[in-house]
Amino acid sequence: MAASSNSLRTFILTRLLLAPLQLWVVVTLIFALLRIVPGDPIAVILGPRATPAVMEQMRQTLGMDGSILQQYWRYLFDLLRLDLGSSISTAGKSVWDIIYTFFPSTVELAVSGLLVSLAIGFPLGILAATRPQSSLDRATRSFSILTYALPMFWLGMMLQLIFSVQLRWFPVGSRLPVGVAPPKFFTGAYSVDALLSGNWDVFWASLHHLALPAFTLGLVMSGVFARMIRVNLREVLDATYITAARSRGFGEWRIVLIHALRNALVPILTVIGLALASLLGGALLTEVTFSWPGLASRLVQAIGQRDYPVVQGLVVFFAAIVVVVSLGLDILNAYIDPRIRY
Amino acid sequence: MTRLPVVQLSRRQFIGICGGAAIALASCRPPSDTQGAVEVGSGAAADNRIRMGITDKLRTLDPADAYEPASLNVLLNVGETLYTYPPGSKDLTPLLATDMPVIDGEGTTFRIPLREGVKFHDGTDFNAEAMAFSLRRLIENGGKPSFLLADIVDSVEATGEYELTVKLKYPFGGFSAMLAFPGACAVSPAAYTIGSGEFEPEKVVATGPYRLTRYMENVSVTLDANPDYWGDTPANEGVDLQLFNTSGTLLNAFKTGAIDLAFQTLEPSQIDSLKKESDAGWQLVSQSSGLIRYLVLNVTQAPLDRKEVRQAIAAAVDRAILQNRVFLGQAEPLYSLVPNNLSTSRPAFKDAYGEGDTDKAKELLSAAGFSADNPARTTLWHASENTRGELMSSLLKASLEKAFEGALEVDLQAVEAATLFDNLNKGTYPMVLLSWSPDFLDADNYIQPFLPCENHEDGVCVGGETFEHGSFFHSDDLNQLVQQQRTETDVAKREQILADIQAAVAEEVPYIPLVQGIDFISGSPKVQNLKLAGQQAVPLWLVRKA
Repeated sequence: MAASSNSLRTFILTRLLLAPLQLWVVVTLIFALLRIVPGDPIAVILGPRATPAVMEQMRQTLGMDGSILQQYWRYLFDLLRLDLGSSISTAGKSVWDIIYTFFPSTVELAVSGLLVSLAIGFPLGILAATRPQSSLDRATRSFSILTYALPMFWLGMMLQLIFSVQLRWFPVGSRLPVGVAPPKFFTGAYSVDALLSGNWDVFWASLHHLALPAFTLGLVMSGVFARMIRVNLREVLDATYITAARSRGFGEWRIVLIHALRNALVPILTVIGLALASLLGGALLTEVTFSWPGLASRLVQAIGQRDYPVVQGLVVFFAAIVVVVSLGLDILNAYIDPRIRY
Repeated sequence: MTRLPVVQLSRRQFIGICGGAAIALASCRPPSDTQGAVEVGSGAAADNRIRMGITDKLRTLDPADAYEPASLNVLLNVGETLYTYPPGSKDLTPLLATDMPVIDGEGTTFRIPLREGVKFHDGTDFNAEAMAFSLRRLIENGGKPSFLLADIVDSVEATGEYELTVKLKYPFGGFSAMLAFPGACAVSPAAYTIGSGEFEPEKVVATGPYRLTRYMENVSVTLDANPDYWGDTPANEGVDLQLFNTSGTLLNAFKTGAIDLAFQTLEPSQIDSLKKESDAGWQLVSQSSGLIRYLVLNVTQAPLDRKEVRQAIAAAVDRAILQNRVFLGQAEPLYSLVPNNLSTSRPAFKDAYGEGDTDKAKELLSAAGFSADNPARTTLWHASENTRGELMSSLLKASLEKAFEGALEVDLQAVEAATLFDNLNKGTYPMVLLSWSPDFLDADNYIQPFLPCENHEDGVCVGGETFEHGSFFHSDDLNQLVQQQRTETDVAKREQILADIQAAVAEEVPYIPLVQGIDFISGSPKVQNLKLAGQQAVPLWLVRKA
């Protein structure tokens, strides 16, 4: 027991030490890649008619003077102080301001999309696993492949055309109707904030606007979950302890939901965690299609503007999320499954 | 195989499922956009507010840093400049000034009488000190448009409570027009500071018909009618400007009634589709835009170093095909760098080469020694993210190669815009497709940023505007003419100089003007009095709901 506890402690310690190293690699790569890309960001921001004096002044103000190595050390030092820098295209805005403004909407969309995908994927996966080789199973497998293969932007546009333009059931985009004031800020997620402030009109309006983008995102992810749950659950349902449970006369639902699903969930939890982390940075196409003002589309805008500090800051922020989530998942898995050790 | 029995739901499960279904159904109710059930704007009734959608990004709203059409459009409605072009007019008219400036004999000192009784949105009084502060801030804070005034203004002083005196470094005939640039609006000295990089990207405290009530980056801008406005009250109670990511979403939002107006930018095909849906009652208001699209020819690279080759290409360009196939008729052919909507514009390229005169083009190319057996070869570059640029380039290549019947071969290349601009003055591109939006509506803004060459070596420009554009053309005569048009204050004489410049450009062909844009704004049947103003902007204070 003590040996197992020590082994887990070593595992956690090693993972905790590796996390900053992973982050440093990402930071260095981003820093180097942005400087390899051709195009002077100062020239892009100030335009071709800016005088050299003005350009030099801006270069100094933004700490982009000096050698690449000097800039690199300066950037690392700032990062250690959690200073992600300031935007060069929108003078007066820090990267943290941008994260504070756009991240809540990304989280709202990603979490909603994940919930939709679980709501579709779980029942489908369970039903397919409990009826192997049935028409439902075949349909679920086809659905999984189809949804995973669907280009997200195409699906978004189609859903928009059908449900927004033709049927007029949902708005075409944005987080709230045009001209509607957002609710009082608590979390930045409008649906949650409206609920917390008791603003029911805004709550319904925000849900109404969230529905279609969340469904688009969720539908694409649901196939992955349906397939994973089917495979893992099927494997567990064939185990001898399930046969034993059946022979004891337990109801089939109880066997599936209580005895089998819990054991099948371990690898799925890892996928859910990583899916959420990737959705936070990867919901770009949904954000663009539905004019959802999230952090991913803000990142793309910054790339186009050669806004180095914003690009660096946001990528580091996303990387930190992925590193922290995968660290948490690794520790959780090691805790649940003692076979996972270094 | 084991079959699952019919599911038996407990009461708690049943209530949970019903609750979930109710939430899902409730979220399917008709859009609230048209219901007005939720708080709109800053609390005003929803029915007389104008909802406008755009796709252009608002980088900043600070007048000292704003340079993009979307930001300037907001400033046109929230701020006021000394002079302006009233909607539908080409005549410069006083706005915060009460009269046109009194210019001294040397043409360098401008005395401008100012309007009394004007207040900023924060209640501060407008006067000459405030106006001087605003112009000095535009110059000294070093924002994107700072060069406009910094290059020519020597000093700005309040020489009376309501008299502003501006001294220029040298005489400049287009200075009054430059003061109509929306970023040169008056801003409250109590709300801003002067200092390099001291910007306020999310606020505007000015004197215009609207006050900025709320700004949410990349999301929306809320404007409310200014109750203390000195002029006519806006015809609506406010404007809700919504930012969309794609033109498709913008169009869909417009068609479903989520917005009343769709402005920059719907694609030509989308505007065309609205035109065809005449039953829906969409309003389409258009106006020649100041935006021009042109080719830059690198005069240092063979075969474009031969004037005859450049002239041959200028003669063979088929503007009609660009106008009709790329822009679906939503552009005008352009025969000079100075666009058609300025009175000083002259169709110099049409006068010199006609319209798509292939015989003349072949003759010129032949005179340069090129034929189907010995073809001239060049490369045309464009920005890769610009789909119109790609279409234009493809059509130009096809039409030129067809016109010259094998005597000219054009290779197409694309590169990302940031890289394209970075390499312009490095001589990388033989021919490059670019566009230009004016800062102010005067011929100078189509001459000065294109033609002067300050330094040259053996006739090749190594410093100046032709160098920055990647043309590298140098002409002492043209330099002199450009300077003359800036300093000449006699209108008729200046017009003649501008005509000479345009003719010289057509003769030397460092650039080939192609097409001039047409701005469109789409309005729902519910709005009235929809108009466009001079510089890709909408005077929203005129728009009202039926």
